[in-house]
Amino acid sequence: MPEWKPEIRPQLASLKIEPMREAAIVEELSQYLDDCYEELLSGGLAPAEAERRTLEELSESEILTRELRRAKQQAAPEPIVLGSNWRTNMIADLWQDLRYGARMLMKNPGFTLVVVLTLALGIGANTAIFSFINALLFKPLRGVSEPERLVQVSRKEGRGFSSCSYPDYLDYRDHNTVMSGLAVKAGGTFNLSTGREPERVEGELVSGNFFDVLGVKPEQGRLLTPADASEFRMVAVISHRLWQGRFSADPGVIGRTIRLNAYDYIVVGVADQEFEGIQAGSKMDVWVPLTTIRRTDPSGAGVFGMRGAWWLEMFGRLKPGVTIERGGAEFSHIARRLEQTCPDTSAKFGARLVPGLGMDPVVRAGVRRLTIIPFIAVGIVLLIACANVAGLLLARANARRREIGTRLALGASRARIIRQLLTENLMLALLGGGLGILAGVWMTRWLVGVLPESTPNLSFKFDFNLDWRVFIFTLSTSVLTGALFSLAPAMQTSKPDLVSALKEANSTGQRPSRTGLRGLLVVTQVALSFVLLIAAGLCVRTLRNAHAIDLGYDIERMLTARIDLPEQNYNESRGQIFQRQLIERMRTLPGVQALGLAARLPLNDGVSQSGIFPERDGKRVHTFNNVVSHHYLDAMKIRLLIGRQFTEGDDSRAPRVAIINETLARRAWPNESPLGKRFSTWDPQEGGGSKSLVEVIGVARNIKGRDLFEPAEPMIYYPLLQNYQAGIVLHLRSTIDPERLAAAVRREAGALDPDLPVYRVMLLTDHLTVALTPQRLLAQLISGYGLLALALAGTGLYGLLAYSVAQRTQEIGLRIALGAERVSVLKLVVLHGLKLTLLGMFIGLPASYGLAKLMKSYLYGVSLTDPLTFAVISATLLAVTLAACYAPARRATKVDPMIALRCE
Amino acid sequence: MQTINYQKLDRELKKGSAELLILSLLEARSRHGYEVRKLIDTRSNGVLKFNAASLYALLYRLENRGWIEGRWVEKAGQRRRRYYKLTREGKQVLAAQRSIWESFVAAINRVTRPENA
Repeated sequence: MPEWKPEIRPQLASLKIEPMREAAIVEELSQYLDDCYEELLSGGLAPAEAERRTLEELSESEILTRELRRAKQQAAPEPIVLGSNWRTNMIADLWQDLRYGARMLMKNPGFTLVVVLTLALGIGANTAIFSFINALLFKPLRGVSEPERLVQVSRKEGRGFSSCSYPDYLDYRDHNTVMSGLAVKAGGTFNLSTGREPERVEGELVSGNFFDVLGVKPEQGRLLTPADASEFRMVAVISHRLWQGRFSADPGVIGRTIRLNAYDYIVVGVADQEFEGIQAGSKMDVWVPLTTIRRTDPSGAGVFGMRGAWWLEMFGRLKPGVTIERGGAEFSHIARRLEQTCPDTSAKFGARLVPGLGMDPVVRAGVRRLTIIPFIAVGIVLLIACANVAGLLLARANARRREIGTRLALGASRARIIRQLLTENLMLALLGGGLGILAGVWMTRWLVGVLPESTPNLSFKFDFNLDWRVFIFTLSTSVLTGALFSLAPAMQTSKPDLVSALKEANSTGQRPSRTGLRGLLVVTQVALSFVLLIAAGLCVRTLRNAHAIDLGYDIERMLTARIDLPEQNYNESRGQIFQRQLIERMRTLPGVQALGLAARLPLNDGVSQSGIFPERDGKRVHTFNNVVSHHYLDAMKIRLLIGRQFTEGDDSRAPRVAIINETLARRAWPNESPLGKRFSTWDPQEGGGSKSLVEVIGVARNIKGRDLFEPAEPMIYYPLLQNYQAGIVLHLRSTIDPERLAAAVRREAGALDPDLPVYRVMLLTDHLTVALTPQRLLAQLISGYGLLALALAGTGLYGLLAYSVAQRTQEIGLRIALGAERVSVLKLVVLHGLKLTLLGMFIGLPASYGLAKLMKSYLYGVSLTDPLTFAVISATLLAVTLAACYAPARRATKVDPMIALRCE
Repeated sequence: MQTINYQKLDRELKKGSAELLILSLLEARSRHGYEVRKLIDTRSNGVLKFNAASLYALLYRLENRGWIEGRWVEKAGQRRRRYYKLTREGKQVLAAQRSIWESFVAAINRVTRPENA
């Protein structure tokens, strides 16, 4: 076939058309001439004659050039052509990049979908963890005005919030000039009994200016005022939630009387819907003036005058323009003055201002510590997703070499091309981010679902909804992600290797450097998922170990419920009668095998600690205490090693007795029997204790309580009949469905006192679950994300192998043609995959040890280099590798040498 | 119908009819340049002939006016070719030109019909 282009070009030369346009016209015309020539040949003409007749087609070329010239004159200003770098208009370039990018993405919907989904999983995981952290640590208090000006006043010593006395509060309130208001509160729980079934509600005893200082608005009625406090009015403000729920949003609730802890209060208002108290994670329902204590507990009212009684939390609002440092300096100054005037009680108190009302800095630090590891985990997932996408982009970049080569040849600068590719990838990242937010919402919901309502340190009633912080976070994550996964492929793709790119008619030529870079990405993915899987393995092992811990008691089929007797209705003797009647009624319930009362749960509960002074040497031994009824140890199946159980005879008239655990026995009376030994609960050297000595009557087995993972601490059980407790936990071991039993417990307690709420009705096994919240959360999160990482890495490996088999079709065909066995071809592919995985595992090994070390405080009963975990995870990864190799390897063995070689 | 002088009529007829030919051929489906030329050749039994230069001059003009649109299309096993298709505006122009042509032909027919004695 004659070459027509040299004939056509001179005809157009005078026009100086833009090069791409000229190239297109030349190509189009030369194709036309090809067709023409072929037809003439097939019509029987000699080649020379056919060529002459074909060239006649160009005979009237002046018509064409005239037409083209006219078109050129009419044409709008210079069109923007991809690959040109003449325009410096950024906006136009950007718009063009965006349009071009969108076209490229729509051209390959499968590719776009895979990339966007991969990114959505990675970004969604990060969004979920961030939403969680955002809710716990970043969201400001709701329903208060200008929360950034609110500060907590704390003692100098210690890191956490601390409390103050009422006289101190008055001094700070009246002598400072930096606060526009200073308020105090004390936590309280109330038995709310009005009409319907009694309910246990969280509330606060507050100073009269509490709502004023916070800047809360009333939704109905009014809020508390200083006059309410100074006149000791029995008034209450209720939350929007309580108003909606219990009072069905009845506006007539204002002025109505409600019973709280058996006292009558008049509801004066409903707080703003947004406001749920100032303790992060808790939802308060009732606020009453602090001074109502003078009416409800006249004997305890002396506390208002005691400078040594630290029972109030103090917070204030800085005046506009006052910095926290200046405020802190003035409070320190007042503290020093107080030290001088009242050295006994206020010495070393100091005072400092802590920004951010709501969460104790110690709890905050704990939360932050706990969230580091999940954040690392989701970071790893995102990195793997990036590596995966980068791998896909590299593969596609190869297919686009010609396109980019052409654009470079036409004069586009490398920067311009990189910018175009980055724009395209940024669009992918933003699409991934958009979908990632949805994935994040879903994952957050799952995360919140596995959270308990509260742990001893922290209540989890947070607002986990999305806000602008989450959006900003996801947006910036998406942008960063886009930059991360696209930089390397963009640099690689735009390398000015024009000649080979343009020459390359098809893309079957092997590019070792490309698969090399992709291999590196796969190795990275394997290494990262190995790290995550090891961490997950260690967490799962920890959880299994934790569940296998011998607690020293039987938690199965044990229902627990809390009943608090209000003091104004129950003095000690009435309370004891109630508790005895309760035991009798419960014992007759069908299905109840054993029961006991205790002041505290062994797990997931606050602690009571004090010291004892053995009679012999009077040296203090630190102990934890519980007060229990006489069948408690039996009901819990806590084994008594020596001595006897409590009996009904161990009451207030009998000599004081106690049962101790093994650890205390060893610590207080080493090498001798503690039975019959006596101790006092006050320091004998200070004297003055009016109570008699306590005699040890038994030694019980150690139990795991406060901290599952620590060795048992010294522990004492006191008999309930000698140590009355108004608040008790009922422990019921039963053979029937706990739900049915719970209803029966409520019914029986209600029969004794209809105003008494029975609350926190839970199985002891659930308490164990709550106690293991950090371990469980970590295990579930990291396993979930570990599996996600594994799936991503597996896909990455599969993608690389499939690609490399396709690239090497000719080579494999040649090998088979030269007599290579199918098995050896299979081996070729599988070994390639295995090599990458083994390399990844090798690199991941030290990193996984590093992560495990970081998690050390959450691990139990498993070493950081636990051989079982490492073996199982390695085997899993290898299995996934083989699965990923399977299809590409099979395809390789099916290569038909004839077809493969014909491509050459 | 507007009146036109003979010279102008001759020019417009030549140009307009050529445009009409191409627009009509692209009405049913998109075609490449050589295909258009072959169709004109065969359907007119060789009476109407274009060569490459005049055909492409016309195609580029129509494209420049936005009546037709050229696109490179790759088909498996073939070289990529530039196919032309009618745009929405082209369809309107075709309809208008067709009716002008038909009334023109009818007018000519009326004039040139042999008179019955």
